[in-house]
Amino acid sequence: MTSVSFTGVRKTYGDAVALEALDLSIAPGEFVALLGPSGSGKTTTLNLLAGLIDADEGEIRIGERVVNDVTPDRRDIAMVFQNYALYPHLTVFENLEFPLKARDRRVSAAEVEQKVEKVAATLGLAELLHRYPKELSGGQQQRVALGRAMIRDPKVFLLDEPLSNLDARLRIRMRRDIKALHEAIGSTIVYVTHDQAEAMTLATRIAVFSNGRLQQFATPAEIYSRPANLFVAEFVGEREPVLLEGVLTGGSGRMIFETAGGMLTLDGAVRHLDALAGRRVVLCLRAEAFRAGREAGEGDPATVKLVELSGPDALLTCALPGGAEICVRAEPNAGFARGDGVWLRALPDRIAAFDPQSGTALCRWE
Amino acid sequence: MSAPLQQRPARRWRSRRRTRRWAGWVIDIAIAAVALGPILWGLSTSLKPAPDILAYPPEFIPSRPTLEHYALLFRTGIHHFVLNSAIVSTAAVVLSLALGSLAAYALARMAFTGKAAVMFAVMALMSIPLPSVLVPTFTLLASIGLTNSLTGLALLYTAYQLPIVVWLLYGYFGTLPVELEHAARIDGCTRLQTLRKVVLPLSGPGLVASALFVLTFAWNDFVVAVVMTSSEDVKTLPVAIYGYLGFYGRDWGPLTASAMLSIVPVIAVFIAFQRYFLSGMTGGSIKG
Repeated sequence: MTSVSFTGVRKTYGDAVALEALDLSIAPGEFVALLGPSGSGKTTTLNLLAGLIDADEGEIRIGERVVNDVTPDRRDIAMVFQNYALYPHLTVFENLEFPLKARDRRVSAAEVEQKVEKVAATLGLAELLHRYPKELSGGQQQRVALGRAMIRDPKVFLLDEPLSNLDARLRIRMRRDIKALHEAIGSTIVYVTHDQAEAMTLATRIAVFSNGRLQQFATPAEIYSRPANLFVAEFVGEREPVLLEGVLTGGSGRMIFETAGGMLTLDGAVRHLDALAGRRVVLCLRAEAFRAGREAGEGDPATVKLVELSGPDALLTCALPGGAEICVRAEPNAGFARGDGVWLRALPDRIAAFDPQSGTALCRWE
Repeated sequence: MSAPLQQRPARRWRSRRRTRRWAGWVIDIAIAAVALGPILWGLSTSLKPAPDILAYPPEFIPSRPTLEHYALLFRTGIHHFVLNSAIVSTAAVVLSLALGSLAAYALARMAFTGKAAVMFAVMALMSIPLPSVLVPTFTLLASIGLTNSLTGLALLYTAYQLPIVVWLLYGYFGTLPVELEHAARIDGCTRLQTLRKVVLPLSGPGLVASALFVLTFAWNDFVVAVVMTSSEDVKTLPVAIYGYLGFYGRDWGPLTASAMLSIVPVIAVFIAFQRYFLSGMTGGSIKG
């Protein structure tokens, strides 16, 4: 288990800035997801850590050692590539033993065989050891790639979108396997993905990137409920939250939010918004920020415009009297239908506020 | 009523396709005849007894086949020249692939100042006609004492063929997925180990194509060898064949027999390696 840190790391390609002054410190044994859209700097960060590209400025450490000038073969890392990068001229066995033999010529055949068999058994590859990569399915190739990384005991595992080429079901299964693997071996893992669901389910902490900048580095729960800015708020979550711009009034836990499209009563524990009374803000309203009820007097009245059923719950698109639309999660058995009246009640601690100009979070969480 | 109407265009189309296939065959055979005719005629001549060679009417398949010309060649020591050619060609192939793959890999995968200039130089070197540099090359070779030696010839063939080898391998390396090399680096290989363990094993077609270029050049070369060598013990096969022409006047038998002997190894190598021309060696390594 080893820590990893980036201090003031910058990388440019010609005039294009790929990564801007990155400070990131990963604790030993953490599973960190680098999350962002393509071109956000997450893969650049991973390649810098792997030593496949050199930083223009700043310092990269693996453990206590500064690795800026250390070649990839001497960094003691393992990596799983998006396209697996299995050696096509070698069998599964030879692919798995490759990292052992490349590092130490004198390693004994018996030891190699024992390690390969152990990894193959863990990943269910025992029957495939004498096949070539092209004779394997996508999922099997993926497991070989994982095995080749696991065969040694590297300081850090780097995974570059390892699941993006698998079909949806297999991806969810492999997600569980990777999580179980991390819990079993406890190594430091840095995992690049553009899939926020993958990042949320796997990581102990998520680093969200956009335009070459680190936007937020926090636990999945915090990233989701307390996003540092509007970009993070919009990027994370199964569906985009509703963003409404307006003015907050009131205080001490009871506030009114006035927008062009209507008025919302924010009851209950919204103390984190107290300091913002009288300010113009953008509110990030996720579907689970409200409870939809039929009893009058609970919160604000609205009309159901659309009902989307998804197994565990129903998603209602509701319109406030002024026209603003809000998405709300509801019990699928509640039987809401288009045109029904509904009362929306804001739930505590679920609403984040942002500055309309800069997009940065304004709330003071306790 | 409607069925024949539907069939007729189909039948016409099928017959047109058949005609086209026959035309293709005829053209193929014509091309093969032009290319192979002289060689087969040479083979036929080499197997005829001397009096029959210029007989009229000529016979294509010898009625009294004989190996006497081949026997004569071996009595007069042609195997010695074959060996010289083999040594020089093998050395040139090994040297140019060893040096060429290093240069090509650096050009294909590393960033360094002057790379564009090196690429340009490689291209430019390929366009210099060989005879124009013979005299200066001879002077150069003489000054380091390598004229009239197999070493000198092997080095010259390597030098002449290195640009094309670098160019071919540069192109081939560029088509390999770079992730494989990244994986090898992370798995603990140095750059040289990456080249040896991952890049070269996957470059079979590129290496074979390059090797064949060098081999055919070195094996067939006459002009360089005749200028740079003079004594019998370093004579290569093409020079020796020319010698036979001189020594035996219009004696076509030994001449065609020696020409046949010189063709056989190259054809054998081409046949042995033809499957490497088929690509697809990297299938299955990269998904997506």
